[in-house]
Amino acid sequence: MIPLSYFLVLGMLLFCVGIGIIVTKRNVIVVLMGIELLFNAANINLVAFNRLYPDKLDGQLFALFVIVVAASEAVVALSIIIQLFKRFETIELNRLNSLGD
Amino acid sequence: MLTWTVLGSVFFPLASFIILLFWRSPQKSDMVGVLMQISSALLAVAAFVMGLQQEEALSPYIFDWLNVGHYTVALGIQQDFPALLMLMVTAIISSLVQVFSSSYMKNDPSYRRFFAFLGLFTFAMYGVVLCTDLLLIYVSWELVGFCSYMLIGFWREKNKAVRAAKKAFVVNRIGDVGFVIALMCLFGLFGTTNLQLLSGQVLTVLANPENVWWVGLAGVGLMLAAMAKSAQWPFSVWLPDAMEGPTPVSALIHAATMVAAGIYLLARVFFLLLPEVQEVLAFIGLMTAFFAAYAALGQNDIKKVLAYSTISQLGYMVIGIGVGAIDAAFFHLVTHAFFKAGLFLGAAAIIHKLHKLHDHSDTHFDAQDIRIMGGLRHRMPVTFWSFMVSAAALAGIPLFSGFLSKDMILSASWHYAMAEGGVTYLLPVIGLLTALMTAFYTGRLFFRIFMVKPSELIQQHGEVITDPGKRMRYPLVILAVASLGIVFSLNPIHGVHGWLHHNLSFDAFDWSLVGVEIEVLSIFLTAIGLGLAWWLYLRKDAFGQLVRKPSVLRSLSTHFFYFNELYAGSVNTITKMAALLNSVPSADGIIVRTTLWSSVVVRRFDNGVVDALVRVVGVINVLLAHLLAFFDRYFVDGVVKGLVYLTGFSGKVTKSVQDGKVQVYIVWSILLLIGLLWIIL
Repeated sequence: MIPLSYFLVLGMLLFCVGIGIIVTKRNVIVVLMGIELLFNAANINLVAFNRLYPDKLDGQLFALFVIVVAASEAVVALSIIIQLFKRFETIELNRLNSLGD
Repeated sequence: MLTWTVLGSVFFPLASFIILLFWRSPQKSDMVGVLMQISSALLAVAAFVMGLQQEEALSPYIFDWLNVGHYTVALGIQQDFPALLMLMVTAIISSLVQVFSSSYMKNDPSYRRFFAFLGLFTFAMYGVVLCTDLLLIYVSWELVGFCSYMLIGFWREKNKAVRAAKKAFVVNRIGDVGFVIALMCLFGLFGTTNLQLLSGQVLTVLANPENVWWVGLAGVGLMLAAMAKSAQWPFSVWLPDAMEGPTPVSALIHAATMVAAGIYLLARVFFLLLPEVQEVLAFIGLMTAFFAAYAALGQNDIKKVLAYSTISQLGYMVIGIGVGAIDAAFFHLVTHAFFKAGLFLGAAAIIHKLHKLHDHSDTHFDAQDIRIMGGLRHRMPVTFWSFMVSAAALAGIPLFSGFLSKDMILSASWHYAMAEGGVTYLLPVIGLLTALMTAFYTGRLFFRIFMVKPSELIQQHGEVITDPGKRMRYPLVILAVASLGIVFSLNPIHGVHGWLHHNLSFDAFDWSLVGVEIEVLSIFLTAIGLGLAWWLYLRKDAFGQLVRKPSVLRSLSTHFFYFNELYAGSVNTITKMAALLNSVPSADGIIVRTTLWSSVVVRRFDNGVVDALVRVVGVINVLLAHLLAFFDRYFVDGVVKGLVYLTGFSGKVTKSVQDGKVQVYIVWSILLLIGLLWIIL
């Protein structure tokens, strides 16, 4: 039996990788991928805790729910990206800036 | 028709002036002048005859010459009897003088200039006579003054002539100031200077007592102008000096153009003269008549005698205007014009011949001195007869024109005195005394020139002296005929009923009361004067003896009461006083010297002390400035720069919270989240 802490460490690592991608990458689509990583890190946690308390199954259900929401979120985000590209003709985040200097 | 005739008459002298201005050679210029002037005279006579037949005077208006606001100067032509009469007299005398001059001035290098200015002179006088607006009369008036200046000083190379011209001009200028003052008063009161309008409004204006003073001032101004122009005392001094001009010019000035203008002006503006002004005028005329007649007694220059006689006769005319007998004054002006022109031209003829004698003989003498003349009766018969008639008119012998007009003035003054009483009785008394003196000096002049035994000089070289040529003879004869009383009045005693006086339209004096008493007295006094002259100079030949005896009375006469010396003296005194005042404060010098010295001291102090101080202060200032600059650069600027850097840095930091970079936002959010969790846990 793999101990719970392993899963938590994996989720944390995944979360950190996702954050790193979000903060450092320029391409919006890559950033979106980072966000997906965050979702998945959360899902791992949910599933892991579900194994600790198996009688209820609410963790797995929540994970499924998150996957659905993530899919719809991806749709919305991609459509936003298309609008962004139409408007600015780029999807580089450092150039998507009409504020300040 | 009448207007055009008058205008034509005016046109010719001006045309002659303009033509002669551009005339090339001195030859034939007399022809231009004389022909033009004779045409003018013929037209003037025609205008006069037309004017006589006319029932009522035409409207003098021609056109508006000058419009300023509601002030209008109309160029009008006076067409009443006095104006036309004066025009005719001026024109006739001027043309006779020009005819005479064409011979008299022959061989003068400036022949052309002479005739040009004679033309302009006549034209100017026409202007005075004919203009209806006082402003235009004033313009002509000045022109008359200018021409007289040019003609008196005609012989420019003669210093005396130039001085005489200047004198005449300056003395006249004093009177012209009066004219200007009068013009301003009249314009202020009436808003017009048109004579017709003035005479129409004068009664309504005088109804307001405030205006009386101003009308009086205007009257005094006009009186001054006339006094200067007509050589009244105290302005008489210029006229005797004006004898320096050519003698025909003197004839013109004395008869028709210059001095007549003053009397004519007074007659024209008579309605503006208040009774007080008139009385002053009468006494001024009286003094002039008396002083000048007295001065004429002692003169030995033929022209000077005539000059003083003119002043004296003008004095009579002024008396006439003063006592209200303008018609008599005007009458005398006309008669005097003829006989005085005759006398002057006669004198010119004599002088002309004596000049010839002077050139012919080797001796040197003054050609105008009556003491070297004598016995010219047989040598110059025509001159003799014409001179005699004119002189008889001057002396006031019955049947001659002067008698008629002069005695009208004397009678008028007698009636004036009876009405006014008091001091005015002096007018007829001294006037009659002057008549006696007039007879005396005229007799003296006449006997001296023609009757006494000729001097040795004339006896030796007498063949030179003959009657002058035709061009000089005819004017003399014509003027002599015009000096006969019968020309003016068939009645030998009274001029009142003569045609000329009958037509004069001034009705200020009631002649119905005038009797013959003054005439009888005057005839008597004239006879005494002439008899005295005859007895002294012809019978006893006392001329030489009298000359040798110097006396106060005699020198008063010779020097015209020292008026000239008086004026010159007063001017000199003023100049000397000014010079004296100028030199008295040698304080001036001290002040200048003190100022110079003190300025040197101040300059040294300035160089030594002030400048050194300034330099030290300057150096200190520069040092301080350097210190301050150092402090400023490193301390003040350092603080400011540090602050700026700090502000900029914090600005940059805080700006990044919302500078549009999404990822930075996320970083901040995460940091904040971590911070929050840190605080909570």
